[in-house]
Amino acid sequence: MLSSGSATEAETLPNPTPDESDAALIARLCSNDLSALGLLFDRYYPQIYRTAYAILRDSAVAEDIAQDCFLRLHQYARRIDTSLPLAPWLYRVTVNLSYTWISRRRNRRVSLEALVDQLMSPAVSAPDHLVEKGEIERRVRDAVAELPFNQRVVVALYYLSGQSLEEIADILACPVGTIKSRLYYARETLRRRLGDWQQTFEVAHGYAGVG
Amino acid sequence: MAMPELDEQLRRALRHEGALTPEQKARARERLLAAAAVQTMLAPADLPSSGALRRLWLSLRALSQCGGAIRSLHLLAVDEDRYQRASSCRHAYLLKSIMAVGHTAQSHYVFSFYRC
Repeated sequence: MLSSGSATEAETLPNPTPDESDAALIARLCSNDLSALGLLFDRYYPQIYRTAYAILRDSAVAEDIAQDCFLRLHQYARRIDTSLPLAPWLYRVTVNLSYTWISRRRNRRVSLEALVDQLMSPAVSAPDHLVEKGEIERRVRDAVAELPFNQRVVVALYYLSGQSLEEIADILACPVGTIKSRLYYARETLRRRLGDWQQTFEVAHGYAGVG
Repeated sequence: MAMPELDEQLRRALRHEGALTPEQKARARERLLAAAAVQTMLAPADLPSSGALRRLWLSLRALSQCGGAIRSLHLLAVDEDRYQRASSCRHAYLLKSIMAVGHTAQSHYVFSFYRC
């Protein structure tokens, strides 16, 4: 039983409809209607989870971050400005939580087991894996994961979440010029890395000069 | 590698990343609602009104101006040497006292000038 209110309290609250605006759902949430939180979760969880995953590359951590993000939504519901769209607020919290997680991880030592697991993973050791269909995508994701945090966040929000430069600037509380510059340097780095890798890949597999 | 090609590869690679199964989502939803049920919601932020902020700003400004004026008078009244120096070179003293009192006093003089 998840509802915190009594049976009579739950009966008096009308059922939220899926078409209801974010502001209306937050208003319901403020009156302790957890079904509204459920609807907001259904609406935004996949994109929040995927954004966290694109930044962190770890499904368990991304789940935790997304979970924490919605818990913050519940906790701060009465302080959220409902005249503004909710999605940027959620993205902002996700980015901040991801940053906190990365900063904390930097201070921890990687366990020996995790290192061995990483080195022994089939993706690294099996040469046949290089010719698999998803290899390029994996390389692209790896290259994105190697970008500095600030650039990675912009890439994730721009390419995955489809946010405009202005929206990203609003989410990260930065000038649009800063976002443009981060995106420019990220793309340049990716182009260089992926270009080098593609050349090596084509030479190694005899594709160079074909087509 | 051309930029449009890179853009397309990035979109495709990130789109196929982190696919969420319905079971994962259902589990996360259940976990969230259970945690939210025991979590306390914060009260609305108690922001001061613009009138209160203005009153606070005016009183702080008045306080700092009073402090500067009292300090100048105190130095003139108590320190004989300073009084002598100030009276011998009145213009330099005025300039120095304005600099010492700082920005608040300067802006006060500027405001007073425009008010006149």
